[in-house]
Amino acid sequence: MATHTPPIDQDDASATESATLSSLYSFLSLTMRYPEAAFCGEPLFDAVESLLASLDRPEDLASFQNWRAQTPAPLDDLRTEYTRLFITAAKQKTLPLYASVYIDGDGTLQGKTTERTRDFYREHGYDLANDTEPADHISFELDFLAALAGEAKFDDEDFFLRTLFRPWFERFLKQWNKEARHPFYAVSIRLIDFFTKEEQ
Amino acid sequence: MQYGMIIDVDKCVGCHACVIACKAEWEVPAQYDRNWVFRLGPSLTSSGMAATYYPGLCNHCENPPCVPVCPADPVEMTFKDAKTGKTVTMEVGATWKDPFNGTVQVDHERCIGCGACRDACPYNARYVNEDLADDNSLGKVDKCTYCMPRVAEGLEPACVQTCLARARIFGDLDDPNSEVAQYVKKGAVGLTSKAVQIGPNGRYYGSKKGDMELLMQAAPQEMPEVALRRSVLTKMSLAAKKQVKELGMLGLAGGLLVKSLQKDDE
Repeated sequence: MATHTPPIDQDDASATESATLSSLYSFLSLTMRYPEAAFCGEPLFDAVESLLASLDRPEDLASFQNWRAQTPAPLDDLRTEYTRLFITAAKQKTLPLYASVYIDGDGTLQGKTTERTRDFYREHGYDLANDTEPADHISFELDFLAALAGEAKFDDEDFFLRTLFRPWFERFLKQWNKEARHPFYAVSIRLIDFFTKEEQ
Repeated sequence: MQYGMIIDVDKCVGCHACVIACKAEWEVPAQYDRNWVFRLGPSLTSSGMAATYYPGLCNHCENPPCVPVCPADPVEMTFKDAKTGKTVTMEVGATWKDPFNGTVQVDHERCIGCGACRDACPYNARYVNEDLADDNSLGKVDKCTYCMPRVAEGLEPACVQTCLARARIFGDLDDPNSEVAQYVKKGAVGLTSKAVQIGPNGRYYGSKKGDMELLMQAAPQEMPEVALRRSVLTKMSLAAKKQVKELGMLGLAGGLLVKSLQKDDE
């Protein structure tokens, strides 16, 4: 029997599972940050490939490998694309990575949802390390999910996903899926979708 | 042949010698157990007040749900019947049910430590020792083996040998003349419930109705559902898990979120 003394909560998944899930969320969070040389390089791309291979996603893997093969300066390419996709494209074309844009009705940043999200973090013992981005940026949200998974707080994780993450992310996806996207971001978003809707 | 174990709760005195013997024999780390003894009651049963012990271990089930969930790459393994010398070759993951003696075993070499088998067991009879993680695994699963290496040398399982009260009896359930089979004839039963019917080969005997009622209440009441996400995580290759982990740590190191002061203050 696993551990009888002290007794463990049998609903808790294993430390292995929570650690893997936590790393996955952290990893996915990295893919949604503005690309920096510190993390956006060969190890990240290799990990994406391994993940796609082991999750049996041959089409995603092929398109990703194709992008790598044809892109001599991937960091520059990703920076350009990140800025274009998520920040500066023409109106209706830009897809900001903030929950409030999709939920609060007026399409602006720092809305009620941003506050609700930050409150949720605080209620669970976390806060932003800095204010460079609003609390409801996808990368923060994935980091928060990583933190919850790391502590095996699966009920809180599920609650956050259902009430704060999936509602905006699904609206974002609707827009996102209207056209073909850059392979790196297409794959990242699909993985985020895959791992965040799994437990619903 | 099907090895099985009888626990005669009329005799068990709850001394935990079986637990200690097992730990000593197999160097089971302090925080884990291959077997256990729970105290049940005193509680009111339909036959009045009752109290007994639930000494538990892997049941080496007829239909072990832990076996098919193992995602380790299958290999061909040849099994030999110790009595007749007959062999059978079959494909197995890192855990399997022996076709000759009916025990459920683990190959630590090939175990990747994913924990899928542990989570599939309704009796909670397996654990993953993460301290044994190596280049090819996240740890190693372990559980009762019915002391097959000892049995091969003509010895009894360590827990059986050490039981002062002789409350544990080990043998072949398929042999009608064996003591274990006699116990089954006398009414020894596996701990099953409506939802958990996987043919446990650990059987419990008690002459007091109240004791048996408590034991059956202690039986798992539902089969664990190996979550969808779990199956996805299981599918991830070890290489992918390790790469993701390294990057995940990098992400956490440059963390956007911090533990709030509010929490630290608590």
